Amino acid sequence: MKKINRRSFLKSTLAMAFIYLVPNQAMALKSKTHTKKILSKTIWIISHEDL
Amino acid sequence: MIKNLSQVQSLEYDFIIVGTGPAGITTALELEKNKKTVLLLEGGGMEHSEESQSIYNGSVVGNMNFDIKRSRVRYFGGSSNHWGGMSRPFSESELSAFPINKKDLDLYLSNACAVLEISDQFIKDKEINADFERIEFKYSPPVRFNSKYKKSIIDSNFIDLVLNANLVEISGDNGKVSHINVSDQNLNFSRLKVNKLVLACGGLENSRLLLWSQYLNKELFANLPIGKKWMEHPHFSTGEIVLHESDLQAIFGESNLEGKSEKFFLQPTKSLMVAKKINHAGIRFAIDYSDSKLKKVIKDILCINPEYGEKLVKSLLKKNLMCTTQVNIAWEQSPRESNKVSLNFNKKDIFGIPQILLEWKIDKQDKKTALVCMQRLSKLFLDVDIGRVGIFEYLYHHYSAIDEKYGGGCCTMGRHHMGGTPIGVSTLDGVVDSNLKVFNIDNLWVSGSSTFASGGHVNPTLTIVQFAMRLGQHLSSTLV
Repeated sequence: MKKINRRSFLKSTLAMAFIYLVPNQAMALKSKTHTKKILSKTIWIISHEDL
Repeated sequence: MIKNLSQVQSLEYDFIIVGTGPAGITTALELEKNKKTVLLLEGGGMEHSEESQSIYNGSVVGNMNFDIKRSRVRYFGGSSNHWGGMSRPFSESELSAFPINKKDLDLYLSNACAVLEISDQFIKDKEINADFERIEFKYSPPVRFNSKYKKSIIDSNFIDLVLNANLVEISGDNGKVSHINVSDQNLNFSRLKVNKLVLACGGLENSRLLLWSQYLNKELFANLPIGKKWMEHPHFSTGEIVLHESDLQAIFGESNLEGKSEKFFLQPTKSLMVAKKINHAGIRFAIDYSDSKLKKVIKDILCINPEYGEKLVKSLLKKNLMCTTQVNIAWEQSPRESNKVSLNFNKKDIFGIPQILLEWKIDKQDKKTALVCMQRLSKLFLDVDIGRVGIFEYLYHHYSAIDEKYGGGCCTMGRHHMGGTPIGVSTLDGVVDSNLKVFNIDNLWVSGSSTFASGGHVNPTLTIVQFAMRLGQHLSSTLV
């Protein structure tokens, strides 16, 4: 069984912190460019509405 | 015994077989079992040479590019010298376009599995939900026909093998092949008398050599739709899944494919195929344990859907082992007249035969199969609320996008060349009949995947061997 390494764990924690600390509006703006880049490659089906 | 062309020129054989891939060798061995004399001709040598391989030069016109020269192998053993070993028999549904029953082919399953050194006990397809069933592939070592059969063919009392013997023309009249012209690599031509001829040169070359012979002998090959309905298995990465490591097992059951990158295989159920009008497809799951990939995916999802991203991060915080899984699909192309092998009279090989011009496209229907499979797979994961599926965006676009973004890079064709001389009930739908005999020619048969009337999604080698055994038995029992 593979274990989660510490670095990955810390980064995930930071990502988690980012979610809570940055107001939704600001995050949406910040992630806009990144989201656009993602959407040009992968369409994630997170809920039935995405189908 | 290995001979040269001058030694066999005056000899007469029950059968001449052109080509030493799985189709040619298997057919020859079946005939040998029944004490028929066979002359086996191989265009290449016993080992790879660029000189021989270059005879496979050709061009592809369409919306996909692949190396037509490197997608097959031209020396003793043929393309078994580079196949991957994945094996599974065609299902009844995949054989529905063939004018034979699956039972006819099943008679040869056990022996064909023995040749490929796999068990013939395939686990029954298991329904996962209304849309998908789990299927099994078996892995041949993979068997290389070169190393496996070289000695027995050289030692055979019934088979003579000539290497570097290149077929350049099939000639005859009144519905019968009388001679073939064959050349060595130094352009020394020989004319050999034919009793019965089996062409087994592969899924592209069978069409090319027949088209060229048709061009030279229009009457003998009249009205044969040679080269048409050519097919491949488009094989692409179509998406990815983020999930807990144990989730795939929770949905699909155990996997015993230790050491293989692809651990689970699904195919759409017949009801999904009918309801959505899609073709056969094999969906393959390759688990990726890399941290960087997982982090990238979680980062992406955090931006797209923070709520679900948060759930993933929380799960990581609880030290649940997560991973990503790459989804690959190999799927069936509908046989179409526009996808065809033709001759390029502007470029010829050293024997003066036009090179192949392959007109081949992946169209909207082809892509629809993969997209529908990914959408229904996404729904399956949503319904059980296990992980989430991401679909690669190119599947939503017009087909030309495949070539620009994915065609030459991470994604490949299966190198499964099928059709061109399909099995049919008449020249309206085929080149060969249910016994693989060329329509309207009494003593010419074709062996190999060029005779497939449809491609299914399954790797073709096992089916090629089954058909070759069936042909060998048929020729032995009914014709001599």
